[in-house]
Amino acid sequence: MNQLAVEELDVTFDDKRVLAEAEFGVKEGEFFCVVGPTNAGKSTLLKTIAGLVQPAKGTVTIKGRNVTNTQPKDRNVSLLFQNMALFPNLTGFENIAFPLRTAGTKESTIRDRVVELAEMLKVTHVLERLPRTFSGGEQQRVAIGRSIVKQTDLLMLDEPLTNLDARIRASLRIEFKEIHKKLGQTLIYVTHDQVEAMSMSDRIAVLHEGEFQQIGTPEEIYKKPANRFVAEFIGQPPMNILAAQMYHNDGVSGIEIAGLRFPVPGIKQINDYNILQDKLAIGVRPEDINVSASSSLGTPHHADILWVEHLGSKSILDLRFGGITLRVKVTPDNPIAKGKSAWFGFEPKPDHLLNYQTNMFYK
Amino acid sequence: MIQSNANAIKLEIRDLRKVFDGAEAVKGSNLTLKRGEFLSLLGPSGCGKSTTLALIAGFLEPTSGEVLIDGNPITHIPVQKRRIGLVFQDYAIFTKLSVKQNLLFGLEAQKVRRVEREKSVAEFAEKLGLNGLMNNRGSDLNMSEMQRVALARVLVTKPELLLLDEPMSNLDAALRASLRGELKQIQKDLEQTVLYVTHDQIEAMSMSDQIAVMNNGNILQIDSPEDIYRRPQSRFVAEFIGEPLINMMSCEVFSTSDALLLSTQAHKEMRLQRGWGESGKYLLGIRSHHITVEHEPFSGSVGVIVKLVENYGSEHVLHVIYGDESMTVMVSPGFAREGDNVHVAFDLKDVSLVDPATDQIHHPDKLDETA
Repeated sequence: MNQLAVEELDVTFDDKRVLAEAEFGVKEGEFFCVVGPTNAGKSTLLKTIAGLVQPAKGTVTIKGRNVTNTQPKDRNVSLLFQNMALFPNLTGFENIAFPLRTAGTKESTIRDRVVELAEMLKVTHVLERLPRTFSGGEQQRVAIGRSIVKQTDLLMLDEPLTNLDARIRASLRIEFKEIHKKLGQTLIYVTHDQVEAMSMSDRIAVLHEGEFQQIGTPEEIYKKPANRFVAEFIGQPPMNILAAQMYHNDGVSGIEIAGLRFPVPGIKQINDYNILQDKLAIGVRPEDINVSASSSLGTPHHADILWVEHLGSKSILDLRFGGITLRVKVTPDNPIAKGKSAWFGFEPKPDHLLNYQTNMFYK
Repeated sequence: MIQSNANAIKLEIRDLRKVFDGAEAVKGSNLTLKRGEFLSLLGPSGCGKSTTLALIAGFLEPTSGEVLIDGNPITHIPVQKRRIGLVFQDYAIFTKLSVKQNLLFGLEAQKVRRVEREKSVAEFAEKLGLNGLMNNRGSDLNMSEMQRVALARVLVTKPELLLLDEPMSNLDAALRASLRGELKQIQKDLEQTVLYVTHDQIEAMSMSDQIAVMNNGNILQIDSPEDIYRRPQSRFVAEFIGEPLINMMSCEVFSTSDALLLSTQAHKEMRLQRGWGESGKYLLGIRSHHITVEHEPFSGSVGVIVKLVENYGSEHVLHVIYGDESMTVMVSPGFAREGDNVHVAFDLKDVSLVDPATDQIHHPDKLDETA
């Protein structure tokens, strides 16, 4: 049974629909991530589940109980906002302990629980101090501690890492995932950062302009994006989308881009796709493109190197051919990155044939 | 107007210090920036990078030290006479004015002739892709457009030096990534000298000619992105740069007559070149893509268990248990799952040995056995 089920949920603000037909379930203990750009409707979704926003239609069911018309306090969920406010006059310990105190929990239980959590969150050293002496990362950890100290049926976190430095974010991502594994708490995590979504979640829901674009495991979403938005939003650098034509020549078929030909091995199936020639594009991931210093079977085409982005563990090349720019990912020691031009090639994937009028991938 | 040559030093700061209420925010910084160069001041919140920028811009007066532009001290020249362009995290654009009026504003203030103004505005609108937006009001723009307008209205005044303070911090991750390339391209085309302040090492790595890493008011290292990444001089720099975080494994070094022998918890006596060679305990700093990993044992490998897998789409990062320490390894997607046994060995190139007493780093080279 799902811990949370959202069905046919519509939310409107002043006649403007900000969430349309939202429908998904979250399993018990799952790390479920909702990812999308600013104004996609992510925070509205969380507020609706928590009961802070009343939907125009649809239901929210938690542990089999329809809570759509119940008060926030009766839903047994916790929600942590991006700008977490700690009580400035309470110590780290008392901030974390707060939800237990209001629930009238026994003193010894509170102590054990807070100390245990503080250890897990690496904030033992700030327990006796006041929040104004905390660093950004410490504040965030204490706020997280407060939101998880009392086990609820559902924990919701709204962009919890957004205000932090990049370096702290990266290390908290891993800690978060480990803490989640230890506690087994059902979690909905909202972010605009696809790296967070990909690296931490069991499943991801991609939200854009109030509509769910796709729900699946990180692997599914990355390998088989449902539409152009997902393809370009997930993955960094984004998937290349290039206008293309089909060709059939001497029993070989494939894709033609700006006059260059790329044979597709699985072409027999492609004929069944019912492809509209004049609206065809192909998606290619930057890591699926081969490059070399000389012409070869896998790299039959030539392009100029416009720009190289050195990112340490990888380099990104911007290749230019026939008026098209193609982003390619290479290993940092690849000598190609030092040159002015390169030979390249790739094998188009039938899953990544796009109708660029509907922006849907052919099935 | 003095025609400066390509290698001329545009900006220099000498022993720059700033003390606020007894707290030293900038502790004697030195750096030089050549004409047309892009330098990033990179560090965590509170490291003094924005204070340094404010001292250069003239919003703050240094406690001691000097700021020079084209070799001339400007420390006592008021802000408005410095010919420095500034763009902050919160774009200051006039929301009630059109994009075109925004772009014209600085030129009118400088009393540039009308014909010149129109020409410059048209030129920069083109360069920053604002042609279709010239009549839109500032309030009608999206974040990316606002950022470009904020940049254009500063660039159009042709500042000698452009200072950017976390200009992308308020943007979504996806937008930030695409703007990096655009900003770099514009900077290269215009040969604009830029000092860029950021806490994001990816921004610094991808756009800069030089990176100055700052912490606690000190500039720790100034180098090219490649050298900062491959040859960090201190533990702080090694750990601040690179994603995933560089591995720091406990190790011991024995200096012999022909090599350095490096032993970690699970690998014994790996050979490195001499040159520098003090025996003792160190931390081996090694990047996750410099660790070879296979499903089956291979020469020099040890077996480890996968504790956690992070999916980054085009690559996965395995967190493995190595001895009693945790270590990350970069692999292709689907290579292993949590709980799997895999085999690892170190590729000892670009090795960093951290002296635990000083946090300073030594870089012994890999010993080429065939030489």
